[in-house]
Parts: sequence; C-alpha cells; structure tokens
Amino acid sequence: MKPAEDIEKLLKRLHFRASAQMHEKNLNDALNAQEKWKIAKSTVAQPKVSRTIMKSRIVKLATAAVIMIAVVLGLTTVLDHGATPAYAIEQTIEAIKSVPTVHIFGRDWDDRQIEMWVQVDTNTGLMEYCYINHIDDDRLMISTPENTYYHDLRTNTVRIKDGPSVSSVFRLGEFFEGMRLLSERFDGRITYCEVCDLNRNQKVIELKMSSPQVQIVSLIDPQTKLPISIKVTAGEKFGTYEILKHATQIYYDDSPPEGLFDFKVPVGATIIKETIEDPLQKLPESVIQYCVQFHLKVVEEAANAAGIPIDTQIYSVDDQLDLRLEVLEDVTDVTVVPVNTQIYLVDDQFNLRLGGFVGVYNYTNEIWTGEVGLGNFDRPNLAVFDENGKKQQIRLIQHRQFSPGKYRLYWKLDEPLHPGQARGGIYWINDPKKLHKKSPDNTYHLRMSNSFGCEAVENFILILPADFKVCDYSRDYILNENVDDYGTYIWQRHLPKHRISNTVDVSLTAK
Amino acid sequence: MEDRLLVWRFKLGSREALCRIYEKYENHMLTLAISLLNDVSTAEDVVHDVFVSFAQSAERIRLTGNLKNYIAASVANRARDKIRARQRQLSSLNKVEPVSSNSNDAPESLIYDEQSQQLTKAMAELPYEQREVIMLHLQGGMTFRAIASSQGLSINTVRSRYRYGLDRLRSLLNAEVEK
Repeated sequence: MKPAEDIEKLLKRLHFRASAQMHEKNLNDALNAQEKWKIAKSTVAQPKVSRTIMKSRIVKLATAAVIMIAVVLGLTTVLDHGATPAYAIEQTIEAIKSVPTVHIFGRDWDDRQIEMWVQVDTNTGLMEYCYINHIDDDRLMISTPENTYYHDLRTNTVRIKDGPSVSSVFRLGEFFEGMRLLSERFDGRITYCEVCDLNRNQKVIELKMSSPQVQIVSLIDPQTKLPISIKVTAGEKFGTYEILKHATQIYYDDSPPEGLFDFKVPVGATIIKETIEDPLQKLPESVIQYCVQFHLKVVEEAANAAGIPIDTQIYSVDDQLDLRLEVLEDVTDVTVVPVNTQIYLVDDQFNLRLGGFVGVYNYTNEIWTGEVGLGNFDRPNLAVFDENGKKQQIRLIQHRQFSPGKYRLYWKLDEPLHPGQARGGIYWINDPKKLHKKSPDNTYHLRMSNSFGCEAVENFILILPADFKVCDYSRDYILNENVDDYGTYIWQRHLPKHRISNTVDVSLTAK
Repeated sequence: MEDRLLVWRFKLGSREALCRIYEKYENHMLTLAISLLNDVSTAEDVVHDVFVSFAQSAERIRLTGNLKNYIAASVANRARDKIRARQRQLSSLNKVEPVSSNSNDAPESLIYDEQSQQLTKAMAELPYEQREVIMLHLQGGMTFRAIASSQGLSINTVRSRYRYGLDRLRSLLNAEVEK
C-alpha cells in the first residue's frame, strides 16, 4: 500500500499535543526543580579536584569518563534512606577536601599488595606528592611536582621522567564525585545502608554503586564521613565479581615518614633519564607576548566590528563554552567571526614545534579557582604559557572511553578567575619534528595548514631564529617583525563558511 | 541558533529559557515518547521526568550537537528504562490530541488522525530497537551516525534496524488495509 517513503513522511508528520493539564504540571515541576537546583548550587561548595585513577582497564575507562565530566557536575544528591541518618556523598567529598595526607594499603587486580601515600596541596586539593610501593613486585614509584621516579629494586634500575605522574595519580575526592556519573553512564544505581564492620567492630555506612560493568563498595566512617575502604569489582556483565582494586585500609591521620618523597638514587643504580629538554624555556617571554598581543588585536577588531565586549569574544573559540560564537550572534544580532591563531616555531636545528592560543572566560556567576578546562588535544606533551609568557601548571587527562587518543587539558589557575574575567595564553606541543630538507637549494620546507571548519579569521604565526629567513612562500605574509632574537612572520586569511583547507607553504634557510 | 542561545541562558539559570525550551519541545517529546511506548500515561511520565531532570542539569549539560537531538536521546533513554522496567501499560489515547501539521485542512486532518492512530498501533508491533531507531531518525531528526554513537552501535546496525523496521511497518499497514 505505502512505499517506505510515504511511511517516512507520515511518521515525520506524526504529532501529539500535550494537554493543558500536562503542560502546566510539567512546566511547574521543571521550574521548581530549577529553583531547587539553584538553591542547592548556592549552598553546596564547589568540589575541589581530586580523584582516583584505578589501574584496571575497566575502572580506568570508567574513571576517565568521570574525570572528564566531574568538574561540571552539580553534586546535590542526598541519599536519604529511611530511618538511618541522612547521608550524602557530598559530605564525603567535602570531608576529603580538608585531608592533607592519605595512607592506603590495598591490593591490585592480581592480588598484589600496594602501599600508597598521597600528600595533597590543601590550597588546591591537588595531589602534590605520591608514593606507591608495589610490595610484591619490589617496585617503587615516587611522583613529585618536578619529576617521577620509578625504581625497580630487583634490577636496581631507576627511570626518571619529567613532571608528576599522571597515570598513578590518586585523587580520592573526584572518585566519589564521579560515582554518581558512573552510575548514570553505566545504567547503575547508588545505594547506601548502615552496616557493622566486623574488622573494625563499629557501625559504618556502606556506599555502593552497582552497574552491570562495575561495582564499587566503600565503607564510610559515620563520624568523619571519610572512606575507610574502597572495593572495585567487575560487574555482573562479566559473570564474576572479580576484584579490580581494593583499598583495604585508608588512614588520614598518619604522617608520612620523613623524606618519603625525597627520592635518592641508590648506589650502583642504572639510571634511565626520560626527561626532555624544554627548548621553549629558551624562548623569550617577549615572543610569547607578541603572539598573544597580535591575536588579541585581531580579536579586538572582530569584537569591535560585532559590537560585543572583547572578553566575551576572545575566549569563545575554545570549546569549553560549547556555544562558540553563535550565541553572541543571537545576543547582538550581528555576525561575529571567530579568530584562530596557530603558531609555528622553528628552532636553530630546523625542528618545528606547533602552538596556538588558549583561553578561558568565566561566563558564570561564580569565582573559578583550581583547575579549568582548556579544550581537547590529541597530544599529551603540552606546555602552556600565560599572556605574560610565564609557564603555567597544567594537567592532561586522557579520554580513554569517549575519545581514545584525545587529552583534556586543564589549567591550574594561579589566581581566582572572577565572573566576567578572562585569561589567555599560548600552548605549545612539545613534539618537535625535523623539517624536510629540499635539494638542490638546501632549503627547508614548512607547510602551515589547518581546516577550521567555519567562517573565521585565521592567523599563522611563524617564529624563526633571527639568523633564519623565509626565502620562498606560496602566499604573501601580512607582517614581518623582529622580536628579540627571533623573526616573526604572519599570514592571515578570512576563511569562508564552508570548510576549506587553509595552507601556506614556505621555504626556510639560514641567512 | 536560537537553541544555543536558550541553552546558554538556561545554564545561567534563566526561567524564561527553561519555559521556552519546554514549550518548544513539549509536543515533540510527547510524540516521540508515545511512539516509543505506545502508552500515553507512561509517555507523559517520561516527558515529565526528562524535563525535570533537564531543569536540574544546567551545570552538567554540555551540548555538542543540537538541543532537539539531545532531548530526543534523553526521551529515548528514559523510554528504554521504562520498557526495561516492564512498566508498560496500554492505555487509550484520550489524553492527547493528535493534530496535523496543516490542521486547517479538515478532511486531511481527519485522515491524518486515523493515520496517526494506525501508525502508532503499527509502531507498537515493531521490536523496540527498530522503533527507537525509526523515531529517533524521523522524529528526533538524528542522523544514523548520531544514533549509532549515542547507543554504542555500529552505523550498519542502525541502518539495518531502520530498514527492517520500515519494511515491517509497511507490511503491517498493508495488512491493516486488506482487512
């Protein structure tokens, strides 16, 4: 009777109208819910960032999911369970915030013993030092803000890496912050009840998150609201409740032994340095400032043309708003063109490093402290410098579940960002690539290219040592200036609405 | 464009934005929920739950696609929960008023009303997975790729479900006429 096309048309036209009664009830309930959310939001303190990354694959996946979104969660769920005193996960999260040290004994998925110490910066809630002793394996890891040391006691080998360890970071608070999200994502549920802990001979709160993929059970001290044990097991989907991670005992009053985090290379140890010399440290602040200022100048022109505040425009290219500039177009009823700036730094060995502009704009009514997201990157080795050229503290979290190979960049703010304020800077990908040498003229070829995807003003800034020059180019640059010992070249293009590849080829040589 | 502005204002706590979003998508949500559940009262519950949950989600909502897709996916998720919880109850369609997109045209409206009743009845005969894909695509305006991504399926699976669903729907409607 009906070809598929007709049925499709009919289904598209299918339309039911809600009754006035339903309309009124739903709208009232939604508005009430919104009001409650606003009240709860104003009374619940902002969670500080701290979290657990478990070692098992499933929990890594799950935790990665949590980490990504936990920072934007409104944590207002109160799990009230009948006659027992009301308990909320928020109480545990809040209690963890004031904990400077965590001492854990536990077992890994293979039942091997682990002892772990974590020292937290109480100002930021972030892990500062971490010590993990894989007792059964004779392996030790010490993470400090400067370096991470891996010591294999059996072979007496020490590996030294730059910066703190990301994969071993234990952030207890964020683990609980994310429990609810895990529950939502994995179709699970969170329950709690009062149980008698026979080992400790006391009544405790059992907080449980059950889902087909993973189950988490944590015993909570009813007085301090701090977790005293955490057990993570595979969910029923996997047939067995195999333990993935078990923090059997968690202590908060212990003081770490003196010098625990001061790693000293043992006598006779083989040292493997995996540190990378940071060539960006040699780059003068003035060069970074020049790049930022140029970017801001273009942004200001775009903002002026659109008649909107510059702060709003500057940072809207970043994905954190999810809204980009379309919102502003609606507000102002004008066309706002985003500005994208990419930076190409060539060192004196013709190694190329890529960079760009990052920024945050506090569009909320709250003061932002701690960490803020700066977007997603497909490289883990990034450095961020603020608008004054000062290197910033950052953290990268791998998107293991949603976007494998992608990393979420967080900027550890060194001062609060107030509503309406904005900050920006430059990021560098510390993954140098040697430029291709062309024969017979012995010049080096560089292709600057991007496909932004929508209408934008796009800048390519090329930074070269002063004794280098651009000897050939596929398109004219708009600016060439010397900044300290570097030469800068800028190409600019107004990209159309449809996606195009914006490419500039240049040949470089030493003067 | 308007949706992005609405979401932005909603994230800042605007009541007006919430009202506007609800009014804009209320009937759309209801149509989708009824088509998925074939049960008006449960569909109303779904719309209610989705929207109340949405009202509380200002902080965590991070819209990367469009709002209509987001809401459609939320309705589908909630409807699936209802199905799983075996809370389906058949009920009449007396609480809702099927309307035509060109409702001024009386004869066509009547035909359409009949058709819409026939359609929802036939839809109820489809396996839920097929129904969901069909409605998310046709009513939710979601691409096959978006549906596949939101449900963790391959795009081929989604396409197959859509195709088989439409075939089945056509044969059901043909059988209805032949009676």
